[in-house]
Amino acid sequence: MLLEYATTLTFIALGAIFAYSFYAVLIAGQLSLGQAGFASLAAFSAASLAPSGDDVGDVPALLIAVVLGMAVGALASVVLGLPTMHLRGVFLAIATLGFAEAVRIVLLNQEWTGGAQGLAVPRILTVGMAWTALAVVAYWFWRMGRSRYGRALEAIREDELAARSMGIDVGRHRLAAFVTSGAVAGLYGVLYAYYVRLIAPGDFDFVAAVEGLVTAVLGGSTMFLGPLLGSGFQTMIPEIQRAVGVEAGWIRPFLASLLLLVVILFLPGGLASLIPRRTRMPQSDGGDGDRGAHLAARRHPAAGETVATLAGLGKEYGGVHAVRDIDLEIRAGEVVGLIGPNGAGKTTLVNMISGLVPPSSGSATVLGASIGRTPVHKLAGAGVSRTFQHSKLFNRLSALENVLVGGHLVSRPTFLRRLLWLPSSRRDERAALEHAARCLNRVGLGDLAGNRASSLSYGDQRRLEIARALASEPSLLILDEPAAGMNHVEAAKLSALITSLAADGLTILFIEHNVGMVLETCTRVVVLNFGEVIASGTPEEIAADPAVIEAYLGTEDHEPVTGSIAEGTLDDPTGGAAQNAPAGAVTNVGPSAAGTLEPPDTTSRDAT
Amino acid sequence: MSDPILSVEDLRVSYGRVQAVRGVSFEAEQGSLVTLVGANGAGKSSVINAVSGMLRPAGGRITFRGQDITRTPAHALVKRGLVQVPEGRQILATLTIEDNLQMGAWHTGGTAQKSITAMYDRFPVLAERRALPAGALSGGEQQMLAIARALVAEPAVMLMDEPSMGLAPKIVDEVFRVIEEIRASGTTVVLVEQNARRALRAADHGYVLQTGEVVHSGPAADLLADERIVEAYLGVDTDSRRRDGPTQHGGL
Amino acid sequence: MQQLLNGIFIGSIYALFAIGFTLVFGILDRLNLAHPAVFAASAFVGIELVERGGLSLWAALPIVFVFGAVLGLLIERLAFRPLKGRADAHFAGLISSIALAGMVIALLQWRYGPDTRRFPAGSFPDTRYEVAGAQVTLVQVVILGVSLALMVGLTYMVTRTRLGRGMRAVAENPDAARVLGVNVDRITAVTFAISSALGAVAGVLFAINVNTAQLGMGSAIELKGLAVIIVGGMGSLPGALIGGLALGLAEVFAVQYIGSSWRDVIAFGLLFLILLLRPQGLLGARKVREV
Repeated sequence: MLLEYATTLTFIALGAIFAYSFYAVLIAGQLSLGQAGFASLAAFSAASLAPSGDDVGDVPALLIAVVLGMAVGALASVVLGLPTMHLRGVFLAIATLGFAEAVRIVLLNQEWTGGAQGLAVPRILTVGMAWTALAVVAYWFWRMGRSRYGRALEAIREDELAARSMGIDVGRHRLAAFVTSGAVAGLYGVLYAYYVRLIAPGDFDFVAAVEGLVTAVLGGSTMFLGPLLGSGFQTMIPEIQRAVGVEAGWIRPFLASLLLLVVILFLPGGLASLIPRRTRMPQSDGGDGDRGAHLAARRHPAAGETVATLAGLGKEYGGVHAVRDIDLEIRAGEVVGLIGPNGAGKTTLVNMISGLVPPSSGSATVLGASIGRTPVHKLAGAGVSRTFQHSKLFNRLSALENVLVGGHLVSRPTFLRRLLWLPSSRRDERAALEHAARCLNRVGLGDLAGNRASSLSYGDQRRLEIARALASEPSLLILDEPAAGMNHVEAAKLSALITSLAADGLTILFIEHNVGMVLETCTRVVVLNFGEVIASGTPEEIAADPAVIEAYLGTEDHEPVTGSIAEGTLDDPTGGAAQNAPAGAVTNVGPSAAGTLEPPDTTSRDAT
Repeated sequence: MSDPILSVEDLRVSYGRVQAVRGVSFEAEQGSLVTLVGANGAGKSSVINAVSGMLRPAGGRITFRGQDITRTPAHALVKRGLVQVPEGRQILATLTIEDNLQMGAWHTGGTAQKSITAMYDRFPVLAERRALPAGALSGGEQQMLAIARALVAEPAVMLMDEPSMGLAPKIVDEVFRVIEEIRASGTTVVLVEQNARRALRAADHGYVLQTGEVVHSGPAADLLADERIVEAYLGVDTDSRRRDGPTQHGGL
Repeated sequence: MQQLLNGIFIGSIYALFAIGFTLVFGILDRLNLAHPAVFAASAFVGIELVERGGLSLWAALPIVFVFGAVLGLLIERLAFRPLKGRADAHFAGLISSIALAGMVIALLQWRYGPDTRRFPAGSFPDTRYEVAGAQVTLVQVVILGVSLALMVGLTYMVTRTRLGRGMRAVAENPDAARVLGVNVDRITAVTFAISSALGAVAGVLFAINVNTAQLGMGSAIELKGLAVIIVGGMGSLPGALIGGLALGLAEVFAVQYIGSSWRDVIAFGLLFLILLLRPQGLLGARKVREV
């Protein structure tokens, strides 16, 4: 019975292993088509270098070949990956495809590969060995799924920028995924070689690469069983066709392609998305008795210490000054509100402070790190965490998983220990889970832990972003319009949350359009207009400042204009360098005066 | 009262689960200048994008020249004379100024050399640089180009979304001068602005939006004198005792 | 001299094919991987028109042009439009167009079988000319003439006509184009039709040039087309033209000086070099995306 289907079953296993090599990078959001090249290199070098089965026995020979092949695949992926990892999307796909084709042509022209005739390889692989190998690969990805490393890869897939801001070193993770892919492709190449008896460079061409990709996509790249499902499906189609008695050669590719089209259009997660995905919420969520027991603790700067210093900071986009010459100092324990009309440069300013955008002039030091030279994830490591104006959640992950990723910096790597089922990894995972649950509960989302981030309401998404930012235990928390879209009551709750966070020792900088909320919540308010600080002071001072009201509502009186932009006789400050703050505003507070401030008020405030 | 050329009843707009506009109604008389003002996030742009067909409303009814246009796509509305000057100007930076103006005449199916020449007369700065890519213009000049481009389409109603955004006060004054000229030439203007005082000075009628609802409306001059607008903007209650209740709804 | 001419002939076919790729990329920012299937399908259809329909090549070319355009509309409708607005549209578009390509190739296999096909002997006159000491056949002149005419026509269309202006507007900013009254869906569909029509003509010309058509001919040229648009700059029409000609010439000279078996490595060598040194391509402009 089993023997009858041995060939089919072996090909299902081989197809699944090859699909896993695509899965390995798809899970991190990369599209690579170079796997056929890795497999090819691995197959030919292993087949020619590994000792013959007659000398060392069949199984040891295969094992040596597998080790050799995986090493070659991994090595090739490092060599290809180092220069190409900065490429995105289609460009990476084309570059890797070019690599695979180049490998094919080079191998075709070598003597030791047998050229177009191919290379004879003994058949050693049995159906049992194939499935054992598949089981090992599937196990690897299964254990990876719920590890810190696996979550980081998924976070990169969902939103690379947000992942960086959570302290994930995206470059290293992407390369790691790529190398894993190379090793698995190498494994596939060797197993394939030791099964089909004769390998030729043409076996690993573009069509083969597309088939592997199709299998992975069909199965789904968000769950470790996907490649197996995909391969089973792909391999079964001709079997079913034979059973039904249709022999025409074109039907299989037609059906496979049609199926792929249907899946990609109507079932974007692949077949595996039909399997429900569970999220486990830790049983004990309130116990803060051993708070931080397994997590790295961060020492916040003491109240009054300098957290950030901005000196003459400016940003220019194609001649337009989004932000110019900002001097500002933020001290520990402050809650600084940043307000100003649309287009005033608020988001550009916080993007610079959080390291996403390099300044074009001036300098800034945030938590000891120098802005512009420190990569985003290092800055996150220094203790800066932020939310985004337009939610950048990891949409296909659950709320809890989003916060777990937020805790990347303060949790320990668990993947390798999870492979070995070490109890310590279980403890670390539980600690990370409890930490995440605490952060979720703090923003009041404990009940929604298992929901997909994309399914949450807008207000809940904003809160989830805050929970995720909190999970990294930041010293400086930057919130970009956290109350946007919230109603009165929600905004008041948010205000209370911010106040309580400040009481815990966090320093908070937030942009907000709800000026009333800013005035209630902040210890200091900074007003921007036309990229410059036009006012800075306590909420009371700001509320009474006519320049602020003017910035928002426009001037009360109005002078006749001389000159005309339509005729080219009026100087237009938005065109380039010029002085353009509102006439009445600049007199209030000069940019240099904005940086000086009273000792921060750290007394807690009642937000309601 | 004659029939308004544009009327919006109970308009609702949602982004996923977020309700950005919760039942806004307003109307514009032929030849008038109507303004919707409000702080950022009040839903002004969503309203105007729904009217111009760029967004699909979740509910409500939009009538233009007596016809229901609630579900009419943007490209069909331009043809009928409802033209938008979008937020952030949205000029086509890689195309030349001339090409940008030609795009204004897209719906005619041909070129509109006559009205483009008229625009060059009106905005000499554009004529000088007609062969340059539009991206080379300054912010204020780009706004002029965006307005000129919309005028080439010969609109009956011009929807303007934050024409003053990011512009210096002197430039804003000139933009408003152009807007008033457009209105004086008989074109109905619906103006969305954050710069409320400036917009209300120019307008006949105003509507104040807050969190997706109209909270005040009335003749622009009356609104201009009303302190409660400051409240709608800054969320600072002029009467601090009224803090818990929802802001009073209704006109003046 | 002979090599130079040969390089230009094959290069102009590459350019014609690559222009179709790059046109869609410029407008939609997506790769249409069904383009090679159009290339192969039209070669088979062209052969059938000449062989069974008894048409002359001159009559067959316009029919194939229209056939390609219709395929392009289908591709846009089935593989790209349903993905509009989806977050993973970039990736999904690649996969859906691969799927559609697979279906087209399977249908070709159904109708024409897996074997290589040729134009019937005597389909085109065997006239030869002497140009500066090199042999040129009439067929080659036709290939060059048709490719150049199509490329000149396309360039004129894109830079000078109303439709071209609309296409450039959509390419730069679809929302701004919509505000101006452009029916973006229609422009997109038209772009697909033009792109595929060019790919279709390229397919027939290629089949004439080598006098064979195979099911796999699309994937062979696909990689070269990708190399050409990367080298020339994604979305750049002159880039595709220059890139195509450069690749054709480089290949011909590589065959002469290095050996025919290494011909295909040239494309990928160039591709790599450009991706590493100048990812936006020789004539491409880097799109700036906002945070």
